[in-house]
Amino acid sequence: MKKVDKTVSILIVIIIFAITIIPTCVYARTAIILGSRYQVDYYEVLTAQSVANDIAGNFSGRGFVVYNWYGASTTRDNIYRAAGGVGDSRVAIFYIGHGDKKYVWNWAGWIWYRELQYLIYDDSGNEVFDKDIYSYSLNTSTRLAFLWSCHQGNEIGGFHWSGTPYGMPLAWLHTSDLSSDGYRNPYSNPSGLVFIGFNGRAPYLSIELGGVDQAGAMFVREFYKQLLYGCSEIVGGTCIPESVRQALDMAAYRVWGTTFGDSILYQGYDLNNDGVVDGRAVIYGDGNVNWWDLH
Amino acid sequence: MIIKRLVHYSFFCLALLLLLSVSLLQNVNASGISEVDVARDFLYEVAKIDPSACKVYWSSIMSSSISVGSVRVLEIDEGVLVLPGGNGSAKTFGVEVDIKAKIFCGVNESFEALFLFTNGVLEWYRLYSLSPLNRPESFTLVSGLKRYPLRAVEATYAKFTLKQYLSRAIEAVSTLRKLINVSEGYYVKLIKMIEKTMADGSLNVEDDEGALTIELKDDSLYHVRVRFEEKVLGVRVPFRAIELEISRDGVVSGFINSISVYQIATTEIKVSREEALSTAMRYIERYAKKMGVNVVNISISLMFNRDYYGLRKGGPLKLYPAWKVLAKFDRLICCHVFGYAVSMWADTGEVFYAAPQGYYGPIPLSNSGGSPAPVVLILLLTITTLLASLILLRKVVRR
Repeated sequence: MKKVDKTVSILIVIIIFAITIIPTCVYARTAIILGSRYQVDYYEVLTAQSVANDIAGNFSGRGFVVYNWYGASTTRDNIYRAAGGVGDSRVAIFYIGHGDKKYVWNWAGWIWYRELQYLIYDDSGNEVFDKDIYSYSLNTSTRLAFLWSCHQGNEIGGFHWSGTPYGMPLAWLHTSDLSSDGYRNPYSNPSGLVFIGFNGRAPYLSIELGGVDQAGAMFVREFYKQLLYGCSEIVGGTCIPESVRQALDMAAYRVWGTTFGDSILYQGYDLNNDGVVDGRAVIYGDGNVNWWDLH
Repeated sequence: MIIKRLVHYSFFCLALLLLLSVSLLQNVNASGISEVDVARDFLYEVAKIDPSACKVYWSSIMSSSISVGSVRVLEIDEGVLVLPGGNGSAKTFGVEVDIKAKIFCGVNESFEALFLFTNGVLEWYRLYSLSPLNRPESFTLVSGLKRYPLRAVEATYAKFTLKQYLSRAIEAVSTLRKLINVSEGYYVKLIKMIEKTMADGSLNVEDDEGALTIELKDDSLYHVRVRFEEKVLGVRVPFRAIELEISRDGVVSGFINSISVYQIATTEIKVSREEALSTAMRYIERYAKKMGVNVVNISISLMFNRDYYGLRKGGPLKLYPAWKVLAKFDRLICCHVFGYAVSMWADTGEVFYAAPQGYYGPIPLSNSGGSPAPVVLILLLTITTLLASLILLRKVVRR
């Protein structure tokens, strides 16, 4: 009997120590980094490649299965695979590259309609449309989609007269029931989905923005660092990771010294000083998502 | 027998848990306990969250070092870029403590307060609403006002005029001065500037030492923003700021105290504006010539840069003067490049950034992967119709 007591005691000790020592995350989830170098300036490619590696490292450090497809691996097929979640049900996506919007003909079953669609490019310059991404995102695996590309956050999206889906937030998250300002009023249905993109032009990561050189690169690095390592060393109590909007705030503060809401990225920027606002970052959905939700 | 054994195991588990808690508490004492006290006092005394109306739970304390990893300064063709990596080891410049508190007010109203302490100084605080009812469809300013919970103070502050919000800001700043280790002079200056805006009704006040901006927002939680930025050599320094945000019902919902954390490393300008421009033009002209474009517009400004990558000895909490030169080209060139920027330290003249300026935008000629062009289908339909008509006509003629 004493032997049993001893075994049980040892087991309890092991369990308690395991709980305290083993990292919170045990079940690996997926992060996919996509990046098209097509018609992108050399300096920007160097910067974006470095940022992609950083993001991959941060996700990997948190136990995520990481697909860093920046460059040649960002093919149309791999973008579709990413939209499908590469077999996982919780995926974080980051895409960087050129983007566009254009009118295309959509077949409504009996007639063609000319309707506005959004698109990104693969590394060879092939167009990848929102409506096609939507058809691959059926299992709603994408929880956090961050598209550093122009126009991809112009609108949440919906369905055209022809029944064709449009809008990148809808395409990746497979729902249009998203808050139009996930930073100030976080909400999504189903909950825990968030899209970060740009309404208008997206600045190169390597350019000077708001008086800060390579501001975009710093911002993206800080955002993922805050999101994933907002609670790396627990001193007391239970560690609660930073949410997307808290990470956005912290990242903006590290770069520009303000909150994200007051930063040049959210307020809008005039890239070539011609008095016209070229674009601004937008958050759709649930900005209260944290990496536990992604995990 | 079984009960006896269960009791035995329970005592054993309890003892272990007790040991664990003690070790955690020791860690908290080592770094974080004084910060928790300040954070608690801040919530009740400065932010004015009423403990009788809201329950506050301190959910996590995290301590980490402020470090800068090694970097590579790439000098490629015409440009200079800084990228992480390289062979050096990370350098540490202090300790950061993050504290989070969950605040529950009423049935459906919950908030999270986020505190950041840098080297023992409260640098950042912000209140986030976690209420699930904040759906955009139902969110209006009126319902927002009702939903923000701090009803105990709402009665006092709900019908604020701008002057009353500013009085609230002065009250908060005065309490802050007593509570945290702050640079006294700047806070006195801030109070004086707020008083000036109250007297003359202006929303922007600026003198040789600093600039105050007051902003009214269409936002219940961050309704009034009061921001002071120090001016050094006539230049506003965003990382030397004090900022307060006040909710519609008078609660302090945001606070930035970068002025107590980031320090100006030097105000010595050894490189003149002309010298800076001349150095920058060498980079700009080299690139413009290579790309076959003309420079149409050049601007130069002095700024105080945070040394984010730790290129200088002082570390990331030091601010250095830098000349920023931005050139605009006469046309957009490949890959949406519209200009070129060069930055150099104004005290040493060393160029630490030189790169083309561009953006991600539409590509004029790309490989379409979209729907098949309906023209082909229309053509096919026309041919089929023509063929069918011909066959029919032939049949009719034969008859």
